[in-house]
Order: sequence, then structure tokens, then C-alpha cells
Amino acid sequence: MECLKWQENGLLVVSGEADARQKEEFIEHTKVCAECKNEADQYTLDKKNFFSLDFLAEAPPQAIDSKIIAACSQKAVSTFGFNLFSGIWMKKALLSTFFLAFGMGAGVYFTVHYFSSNNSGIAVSKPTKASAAQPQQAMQQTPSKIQGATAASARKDSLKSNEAVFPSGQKSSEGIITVDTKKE
Amino acid sequence: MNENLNNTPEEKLENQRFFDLWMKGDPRGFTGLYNRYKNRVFGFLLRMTGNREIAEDLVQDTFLAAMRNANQFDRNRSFLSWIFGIAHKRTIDYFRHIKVENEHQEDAEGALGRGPDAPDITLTNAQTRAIINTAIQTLDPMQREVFLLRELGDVPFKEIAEMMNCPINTALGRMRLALKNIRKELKRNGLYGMS
Repeated sequence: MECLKWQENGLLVVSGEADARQKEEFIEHTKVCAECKNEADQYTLDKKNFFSLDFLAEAPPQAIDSKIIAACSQKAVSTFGFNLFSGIWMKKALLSTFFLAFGMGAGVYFTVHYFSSNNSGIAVSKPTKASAAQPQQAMQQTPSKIQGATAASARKDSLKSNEAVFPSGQKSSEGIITVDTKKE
Repeated sequence: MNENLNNTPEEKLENQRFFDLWMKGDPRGFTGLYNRYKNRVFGFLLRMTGNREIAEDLVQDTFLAAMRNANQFDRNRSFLSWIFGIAHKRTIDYFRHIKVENEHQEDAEGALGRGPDAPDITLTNAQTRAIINTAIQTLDPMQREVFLLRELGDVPFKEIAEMMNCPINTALGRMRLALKNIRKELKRNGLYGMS
């Protein structure tokens, strides 16, 4: 049966990730557990002999090296100042600012337009008011005209009735001589 | 090798200096970081994908993604762990994109055998490398992932567990099994007798 102390503490100790308590605990443990001690020793040996960078690391081709260095170095130069503006949040902020400015501009334009149209609207609406007032004036003028017309027709009617009673050129009983207006 | 000094305070300081230069737009910053870690990252991608051409594409993607997300880098973290986190994500995306697990297992043997060895590497080293590569390729993908993240990327187990979305004990268990299986494979190839 395998001892799990190597897995739990031992690997952290040999990797330098264990805290002081774990380290002390494992060292004490290896004094009584040959299996864990053997594992720790073996790992140290393997790391030195086989897990070194000489065996594990690989050099990429030089063409790739120059490609990456050219791409990353150039972009780092050109983008550092621009990095602030290349983020998605900055793009959103710029877009929002644009819409805000556009909205404010539109607001100012419509407000100015509204007031200017109100001022000129007085001149524009005058004829409208006047034309609206015309029927009223006409209405006000009509009764006198109607009254005048009625009076004239009444006079004509009375003259006709007089004619009927006293034909033109004849003396009435009161001695009044009627004149034929038609002949005149 | 300079790369073996990873996570020492001196290296952290130097990484920060390179990173600051990079952020200021000085090409020496990126070049310094790239030259320091390119072999580890490429080695990880090559062993994870088992295909040299895909690893070449992914290493470019990894460093370009690092450049795009450089402002998200937490300076308290190790740069190597961060770049390995990106490389790991790229690998996962790749495997999600093409579900050819069996295919890449077949390609792996051919691709890893013809690695560009440095001229000073002896035949024994080349053989050792080939045997180690084969041993790594025989691992279960999850075990291989933990092993490579830990050994090549120096990524702490806690972060490996976060990357793989599993408890830390699971990550430690996978590492234990990976070591056991690699050892078994090395013994089978007679490598233990050589060391």
C-alpha cells in the first residue's frame, strides 16, 4: 500500500511550495517512512538528470523567433500609447461620449429652433389672426348694412303704398301733391 | 543555464525590468523576456500538441496574446507562470477546436524525434532526450499537462489546480502518477542504468 504523504506534502516540499509546518511534518515523516524518503530522493535525482531544461525545453525555429519579436516589439511600441483606447471599455466610453455630444447638440438645435420659430411665429401668425378676425369684423359690420338695406326697402315700400293711395300728380286730401318717382 | 534561475528574486527583478521596458515600448523588454522563456514555452507546446507546426503556431499565438493582455499581468505573479497560463489556454483551445487526440499521438513520435538539437549536444543527450520525450508522450494527457506545467513552467500546484479546474490534491495525484509512469518508462529503456 502506497503512502499518501508523498502526494499530500512531499511534492509541495520538493517543489518549494510547502509552508514551514508542512515541511517540518514531511521531514519528520521521512524518518519513519522509507517509501516517502525514497520518492523524495528519486524525484530530486530525476529532476537533476532528466527533468532539466536541456531535455525538456525546445528552441523554436529562428524564423518564428524573428516573426514573434518583430510583431510583439513593434506592436508594443505602437500600441502602448494606444492601448488605453484599444480596450473595449474605452471604445464604449468613446461611443457613449459621441452619442451624448450628439444628443446635446440635437437638444440645443431644437431648443434654438423652437424659440426662433416662436419669435418669427408672431409675424407669421398675424395674418392668420387677422384672417380669423375678418369674419368677426364682417359679422360686426353686417347688422348696420342689413339695417340700412331694410330701411331703404321700407322707404320704397311706403312710397309704393302712398302711390297706391295717391297716384302721382294727384293732390291728396291733405293738399300734398305726390310726385311719381318712377318718372323722375 | 540562465533559465534554471527561474523564480529567484534576481530573476523576478530582472523580469520586472524587462516588463517595464516592454510596456514603455522599448523592444529590448520583450526580446529579453522572449529569449528567456521561449524554449520552455515551445517545449511545453510541442509536448502538449505533439506536432511541431502546431506548436510553432501556438507559440506565436501565446506571445501575441501576452502582448495584447500585458496590461492584465499581475506584477506579484511570476511572469513564467503567467505566460504558461496563456500557453495552456491556447493548448486547451486547440484541443477543443480539433478533436484529434489519437491523431496527435501518432504525429508526436515523428515530430519530437527531429527536434533542433544544439550542435554541442552529444549523441547520448539526444538519445536521452528522445527517451524522455517518449516517456512523456506515453503519459495520460492530464498527467502530462500537470507534469509539464510544473517542470517546464514552474507553475505552482495551486495555480495548476486553478488552470485545470480541479482540487489541488487531484493535481498532486496526477503529478505523482506522472512521475511514477515516467520512471517506469525510463527504466524500461534502460535510462536508469545510465544516470
